[in-house]
Amino acid sequence: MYDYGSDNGVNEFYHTWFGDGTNWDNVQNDLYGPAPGFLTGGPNPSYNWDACCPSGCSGLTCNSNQVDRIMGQPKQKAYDDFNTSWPMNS
Amino acid sequence: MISIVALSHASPPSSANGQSLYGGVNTTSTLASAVAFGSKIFNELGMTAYSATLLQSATEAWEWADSNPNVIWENNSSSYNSVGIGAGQQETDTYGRFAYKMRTAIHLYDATNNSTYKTYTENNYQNIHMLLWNYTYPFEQENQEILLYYASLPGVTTSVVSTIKNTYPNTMNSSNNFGGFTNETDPYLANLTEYVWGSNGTKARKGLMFTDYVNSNINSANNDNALKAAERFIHYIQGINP
Repeated sequence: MYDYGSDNGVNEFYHTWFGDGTNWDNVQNDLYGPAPGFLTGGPNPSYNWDACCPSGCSGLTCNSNQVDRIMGQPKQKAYDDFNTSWPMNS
Repeated sequence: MISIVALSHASPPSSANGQSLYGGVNTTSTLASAVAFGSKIFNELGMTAYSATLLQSATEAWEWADSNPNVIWENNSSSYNSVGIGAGQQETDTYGRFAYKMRTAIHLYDATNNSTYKTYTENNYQNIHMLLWNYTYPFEQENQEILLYYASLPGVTTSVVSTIKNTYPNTMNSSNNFGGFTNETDPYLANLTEYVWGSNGTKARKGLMFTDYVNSNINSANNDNALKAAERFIHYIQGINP
């Protein structure tokens, strides 16, 4: 949507078709990015990483910076532009 | 009617080649899948044969669900041998099935003018939370909207119409609804009291509560404000130029 004048568009979101690390992952960084027209889930003040974090998730990464960007925000801003999967998915 | 499907996924979708599963027959999905309203739409488009097929299907769905009101099938449940099928839980509760049945009855009444559906609706409409609690909120926007729609149909009992059309604007005057608009409670001007997973959907339904207000024309003096309030929910989601 940047081609049509949007300033702060959603670049990526959690969806199997547009998975993290694929060509359809991020509209800024990847070959295609996700298809337009999808509405993201929106702010979620109850977001947290999986209970296996920070170090017991079968070797998968727990990103504390991502949690910090969301938790503790006003509920309207409890949102981040990401699409990583378990154990960090929303 | 079957319920939830658990499709094999891949990116791109065309590369998926795994096993896909579907849930069992149940009352909830049968009521939710009744396509009486679809029948009306296709009839208006001149596709009368397909419209008749949909209406027959919807009628049979109603009859099956009416005779089988408590056939439950839960996904992601060891009790139903369904762990891993779908995300979350698609099955609803007794009230949820009742609300689906009300929607089915109202659309079937609209499509057929059959008194069976009118009788069911008018015997039960006061059990929808909007009337039972004298309260409107976005988590039941569809249940509230369908009552307003019923009140717009020909042949509906006058006192039922009055009750619905009096209750909706009264509840919309609450601090959570028009109060949030008038007082500009929310910093984004799109007031919502409860944020849960999928809050953009809740926001959208809150906006629809205001467009329902306009579309049902229950208090035309307030329509401009209602439309303005609704637009603010679109602006919240899409952004607005400064």
